[in-house]
Amino acid sequence: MFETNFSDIDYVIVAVYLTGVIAIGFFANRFISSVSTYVVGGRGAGLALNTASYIGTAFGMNEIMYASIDGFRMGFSYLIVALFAFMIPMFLGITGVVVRRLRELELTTLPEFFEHRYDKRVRVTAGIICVIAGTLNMGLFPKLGAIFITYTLGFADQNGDTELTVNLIMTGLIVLVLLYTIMGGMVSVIVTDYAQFVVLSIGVGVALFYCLSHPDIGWANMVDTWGQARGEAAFNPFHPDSYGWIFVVWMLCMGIFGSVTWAPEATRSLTSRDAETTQRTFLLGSAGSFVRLASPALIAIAAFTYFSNDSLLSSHFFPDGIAGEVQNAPHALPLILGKILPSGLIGILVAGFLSAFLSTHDSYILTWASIFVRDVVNPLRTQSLQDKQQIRIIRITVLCIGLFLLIWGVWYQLPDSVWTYLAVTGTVYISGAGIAVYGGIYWKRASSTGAFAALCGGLLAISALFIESLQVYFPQLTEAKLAFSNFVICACLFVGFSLLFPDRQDGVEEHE
Amino acid sequence: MSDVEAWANFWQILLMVVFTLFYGLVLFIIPFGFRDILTLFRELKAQSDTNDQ
Repeated sequence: MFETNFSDIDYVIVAVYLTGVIAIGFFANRFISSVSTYVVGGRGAGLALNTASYIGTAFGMNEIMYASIDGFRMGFSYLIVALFAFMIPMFLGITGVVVRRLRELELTTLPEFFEHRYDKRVRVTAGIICVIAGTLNMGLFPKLGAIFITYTLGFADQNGDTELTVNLIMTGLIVLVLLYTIMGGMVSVIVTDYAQFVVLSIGVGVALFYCLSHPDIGWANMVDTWGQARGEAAFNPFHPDSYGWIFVVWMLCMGIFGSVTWAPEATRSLTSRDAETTQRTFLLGSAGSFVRLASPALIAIAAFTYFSNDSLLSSHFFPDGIAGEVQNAPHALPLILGKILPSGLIGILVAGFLSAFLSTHDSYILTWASIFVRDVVNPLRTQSLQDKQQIRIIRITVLCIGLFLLIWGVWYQLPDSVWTYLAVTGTVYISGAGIAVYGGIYWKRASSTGAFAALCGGLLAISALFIESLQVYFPQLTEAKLAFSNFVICACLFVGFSLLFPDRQDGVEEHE
Repeated sequence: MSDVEAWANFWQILLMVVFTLFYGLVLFIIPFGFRDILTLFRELKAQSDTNDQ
């Protein structure tokens, strides 16, 4: 049932490609001479390279997995998230709102802004919450990657215990990521992001073409199948049986605030050569932000159509019929790619995704580790750490994060919607930090106490991870309602505390 | 036209427009991105040499 077209030639392609990418990591290591080179690539990336890196950072194995899971469960409605991912960076790129100012400040990490605009207490608080939210957020990434490998390569059929196979592959992937991250830093991230951008943008386009032109799939078939299975809810995200309007507004808030505060992507506003390049990066990257979410969702929507016509696979995915609850959604995209794509092309795509897995993890882990050292450890010391000491502590932190990922990945079970899990853990930081960044730049009366209160308010979003326990007492409560109300609470805390506890006058003048 | 058809058409048009924009961008990024990599390595090497001195 789970056999795929992955063959020996594909193994060769993957091995050659990965060796090449790791060689780039070694090569890039020669250029690490300072913290700024290690963390923001020396702020030397030009427009095309920075745009490739901006898109490449968020175009990896994890992204295609979580987008495909929701595409497989919710149909075309998921494309609303991709639409926001397109419109918001485009708006930021055209207007320069926030991103231009952040680049002009020549920051190395985003929480540095909080000390620049507010005070050290706000910076350290932002750093701690950012690292907690970020590490929790990526906690499921290695498992998603391992599931992708297991089902695309056809391992699920050959071994009775798929869970053990997934965990072994996950361990191997984490070890590879740690080696790669410790070796190269941000220079190797930027360069491999470029390679994966080229391979994946072409590879995913070809995969999409294969899916949509398959005689059993096609656009008309997809629309018909989904229309019969879910009706309007498969197409209209506002429909009560789909996401609903509160979820949509929550996603809009996530896009507006997350684009400038979610460190791995927002860091691209710091790595570019100048403020103009930053703006253009966001503008040019907007189409890529759409494609990275829409293409896997579309392949999963096609997979739903394909599997609904296959009796064996239909029982695996739709035990209650196609109108019932979907099961095993994470297996859908790797299986359809493994079954539809020819040998050779799968190898190129898997190699691209493995490379993307490396650079996404590299970028994320490096970002959280550097924030921990520069925005938590360093400000709390009386004497600043030297560059070499900082790089050494960043590398130790990278190892600790890797250990956490291994433990979390083995023990934590995948939720139905990984996307919702990611959005909830992201909200913990983004809701408070986003309001404090926008407020800090555009509202003169924003105060350090207001920013501190907003950041702490963001922690309330953690409650959404325990939604099932809360629903016992409040049956109407959903993750979307809790997370969206968290943005409102943070905004109220920020405004209220800023007005009640303004900064001293000399501080305000200095900020102006 | 039913609501389902209207939404399906909306998503189809959106997908076609943005995918076309994206693949236009890919044609720009592939050659110019490679040039930027060479420039980046040159600049970082110069920085590294300065630090060594």
